[in-house]
Amino acid sequence: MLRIEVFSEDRNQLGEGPLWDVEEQRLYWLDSYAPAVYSCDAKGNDRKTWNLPEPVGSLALREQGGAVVSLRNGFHTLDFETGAVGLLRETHPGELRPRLNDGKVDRQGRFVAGSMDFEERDPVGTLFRLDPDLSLHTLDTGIICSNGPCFSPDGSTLYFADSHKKVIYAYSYDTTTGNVGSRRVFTTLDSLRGYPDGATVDAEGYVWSVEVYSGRLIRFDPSGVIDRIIGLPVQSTTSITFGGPELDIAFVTSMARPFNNQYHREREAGCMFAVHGLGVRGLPEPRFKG
Amino acid sequence: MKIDVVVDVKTTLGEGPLWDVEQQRLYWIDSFDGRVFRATADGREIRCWDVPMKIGSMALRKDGNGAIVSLARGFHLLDFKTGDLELIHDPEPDKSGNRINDGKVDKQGRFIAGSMDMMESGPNGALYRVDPDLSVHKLDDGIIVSNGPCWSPDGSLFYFADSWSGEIWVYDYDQATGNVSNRRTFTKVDTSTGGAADGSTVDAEGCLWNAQVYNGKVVRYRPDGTVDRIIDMPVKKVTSIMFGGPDLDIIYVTSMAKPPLPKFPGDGVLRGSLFTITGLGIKGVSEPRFAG
Repeated sequence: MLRIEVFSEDRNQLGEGPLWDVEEQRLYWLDSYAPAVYSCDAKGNDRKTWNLPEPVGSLALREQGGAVVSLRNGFHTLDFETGAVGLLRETHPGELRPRLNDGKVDRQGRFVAGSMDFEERDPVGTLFRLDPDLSLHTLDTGIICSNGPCFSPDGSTLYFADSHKKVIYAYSYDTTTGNVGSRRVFTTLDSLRGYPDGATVDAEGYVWSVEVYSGRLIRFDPSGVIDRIIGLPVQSTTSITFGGPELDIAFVTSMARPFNNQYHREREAGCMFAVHGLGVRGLPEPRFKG
Repeated sequence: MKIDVVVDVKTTLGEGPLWDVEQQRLYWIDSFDGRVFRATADGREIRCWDVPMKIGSMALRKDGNGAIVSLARGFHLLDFKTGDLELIHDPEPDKSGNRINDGKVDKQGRFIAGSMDMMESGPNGALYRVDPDLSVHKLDDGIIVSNGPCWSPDGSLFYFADSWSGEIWVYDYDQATGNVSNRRTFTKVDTSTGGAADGSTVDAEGCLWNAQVYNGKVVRYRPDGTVDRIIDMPVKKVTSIMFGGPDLDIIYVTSMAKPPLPKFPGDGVLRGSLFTITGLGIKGVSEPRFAG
């Protein structure tokens, strides 16, 4: 039976990047504008917070411990012991408009994250790949707002949304090199009010995309056809991951203060929701190998 | 008999389930959020079109590539391919407190829909007919909340409810002209527990099924208006009803997640779901498309 609960009552200005770490059995997520990284156990206890110096778009745990965070100007390390942040790679040197946004680790341990126009207007964003040797590669350009990168179970397809264009793309993804091949439109949200935000792929290979400004989870089959739509209590839902001991709970972030100032009056806007009873499991998120 | 959730979309105000025999697809709407949904009989392959206003009802056009939709501000045509809307006519340009509500297609392909007072208090609504040439005609007025238009299997009787009147009415229906006459009481609906007649459909045996919102009941009336059976639903705020599926023997029931009238309590985790009732051994009648 489907059950939706408020998992974390704290109202994030822009909750993003939920990530369940199988090894630690802990949930991580962000408030992009706090800016901060949060973590807690499966029951929501043992909360930890790391404050960051700049807006943060995404986070990946490292195999060696700590995390990589996508800050405004590039990829940084975050030391969980000390809270220290150190620059790894600058992504848009000298440019003010783009900031790094959503990202995810591929099935081989590379970190793929894209940038977005702060003003969400012009295609100044880039999709990057950070390899375990910390080298930085450009996968695509001309993006207004990077969101929802995620991989098919076999790792050979990279799904990726340009939110502003209301499009989710599918790239063929070379699991050996981490390079992308042809890009096709996986699906569009043209007939819908909302925009594609964060996304994840479940164990059956179906894509779960969060429709922001419409408050819904949309599950697409691998051909891009809608399989299920789940409505959430707030309009400002932002991202999703599967977690919990059985990887069968969908954790969904939301925002209390979206850029257009709408919806912030919703009582639970900015909370983290846990959706139980979907009857679907996620896949373990790999850690970044660098 | 078995009741299941077939689609767990939480429609704020689910309404207007409509089974299209040719496409073998179920359509339904979210009146408050302004959305049109479509799915297979078992709730898969979902499509969704968002519209920019409250929507009261819809019917497929004859070519199946679009629909006539009753939006808050007038009848429109919706193109399924592009999502574009084109205004046919706003019959109530001066009544900003009204919106067009429930509607259905008669046996000849005309679309009949009525309006409602959004405060559900004044008799400001009217009943309209949209002909295949897209002309709009007023059939009746003085209605608070239009709901549940539907026809007897031979098309000669037109059933219709003003939800808060405590009655479902029946009119004689002139199939040549699409005009109604001789309105009388078909049956009384018990409103003592706060419920009211919402969406209706007529089955192949000529019995009328009515969803009784806030009461959580689906009631089957015999053609003489007496109650044949009552089905208790898992939620109180059931809104409308339609037969569908490959054999037209699945009953689809819509519901609402958020009551527009706050005096009625919530329905818990099942709120706003689309339900099926199966195993009754009763069949519906195929719904005609709008001939325009």
